[in-house]
Amino acid sequence: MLCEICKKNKATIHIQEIINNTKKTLHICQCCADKKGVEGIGPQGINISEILYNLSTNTGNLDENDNQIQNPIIDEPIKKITSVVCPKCKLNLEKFKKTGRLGCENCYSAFQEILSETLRNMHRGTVHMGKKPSGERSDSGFIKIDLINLQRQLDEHIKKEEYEKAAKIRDQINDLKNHIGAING
Amino acid sequence: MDNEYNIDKFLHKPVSWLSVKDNDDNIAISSRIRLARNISGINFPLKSDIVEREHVLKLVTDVITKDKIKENSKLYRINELPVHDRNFLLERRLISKEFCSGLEGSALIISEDEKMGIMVNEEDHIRMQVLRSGCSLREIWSEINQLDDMFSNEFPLAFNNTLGYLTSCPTNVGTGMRASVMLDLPGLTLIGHINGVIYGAGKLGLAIRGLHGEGSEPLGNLYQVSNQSTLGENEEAIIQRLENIIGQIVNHEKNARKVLLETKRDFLLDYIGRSYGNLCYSYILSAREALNSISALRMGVVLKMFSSLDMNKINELFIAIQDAHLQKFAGRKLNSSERDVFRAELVRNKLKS
Repeated sequence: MLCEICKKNKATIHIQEIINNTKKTLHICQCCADKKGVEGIGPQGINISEILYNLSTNTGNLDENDNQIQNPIIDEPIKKITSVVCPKCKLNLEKFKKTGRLGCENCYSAFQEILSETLRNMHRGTVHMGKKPSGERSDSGFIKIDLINLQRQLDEHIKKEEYEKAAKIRDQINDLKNHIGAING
Repeated sequence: MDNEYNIDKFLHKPVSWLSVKDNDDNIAISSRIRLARNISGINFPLKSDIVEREHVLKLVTDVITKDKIKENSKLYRINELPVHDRNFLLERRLISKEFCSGLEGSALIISEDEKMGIMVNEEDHIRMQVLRSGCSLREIWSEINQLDDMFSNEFPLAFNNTLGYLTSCPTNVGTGMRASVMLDLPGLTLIGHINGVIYGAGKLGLAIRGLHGEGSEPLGNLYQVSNQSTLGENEEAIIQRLENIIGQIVNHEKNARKVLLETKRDFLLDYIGRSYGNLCYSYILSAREALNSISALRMGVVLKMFSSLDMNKINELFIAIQDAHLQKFAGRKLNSSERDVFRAELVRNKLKS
């Protein structure tokens, strides 16, 4: 049997998992197992859903004989939407399909159409019912985030030799640092 | 926080999340909860650069340093560790396989007793975990919930009201929580009921994984039960569902052992005795053989067949017989056949002492 990921090497690792009474099986070679983080032995365990999820985002289709494996990403909408790029982190659909990972929180809006179907297949519900971040944030936490973003802008301006803009950003950074100093006493 | 702690010091320390109470049935070996969190406004590690990753690391370490309870924590920058140290941490369940690749700016923070760990800049900015022995998900949840609050008190997390905590992989979105319990089920395996139990539990939306090597036979009768879904239920509901099903599996395992004792007593005692012999007298011991024999031996201890054997010592073997640990004990790199010889020697000595 050939590896279901690379379709080149002989499959030597056979993984079975039963979720919601559906048996999922995956036959892969050692090389792809290493890449996907499947361990032969050890207490770490494996997450077949993630592997299958990654696999389906890579190839779109699994072994036809194994029709019990659900493809969490429906092919149809992906074919229609081929040019989605997240405006913030610039992650494109191709990279998302390749890695199965998103690049930033805004990706959830950018890839919303594709994700809504995926999430429905993957989870027991579509709305978060769990805890929310506790609301007692100190101001300095938010300022620290602003500082990170300003520092990046500063680096970019310096790189482009835009020194006037860089100076303005530097002043803003200094103001914020002073503000943090005042909060922390 | 100590940045100079030598990883080798962990080698001779007992793994605290494996230590058990005397009267426990020892079927549930250990529990773990992992939470995935990202800091709002900063790209996830997939798209972040080194400046952003260093900032994330600084924000996280500031929180840990501020909390006095965590002052004995250790920090390891993964890219500065040699590969065998990364594998060593992997075998101790402190990091993931993906984290071993050693992205610059990624680091592991662990408490001295190894029960609390935080991977910074793994797939998400923050992957925190708490481990404990036995089935103890509620206690873990209470601890990790507080740890999570410490972070959200200091900086805004990537969160929206519909989808919950936003994670790099959509399989974790919502609670961002993965709770799991490791079970040792030799009785159910021996009477051939293990598949039925796995199917039954699977009906209730949980994932049960055997630790497989090549081929499909499970290793060491170890099974990890975990929640598959992270969206649509709250944390307590997920934990309760897991606990209910685990309680039922544990009862099935106890019944299986009772049936074996009543109907196949000689077979069971022989199986355990031979496994003990294997561990005490082998000179070549593969990982598979070792894991299966350790599992049998644990059952023997619960049945009071071995008065002098301590369960904690046997649990330690699960960790010690793995490749990176063996090489640490040996103090050098070992090839596959050298490892089998060294594993046999190590187990013989550990059981003698």
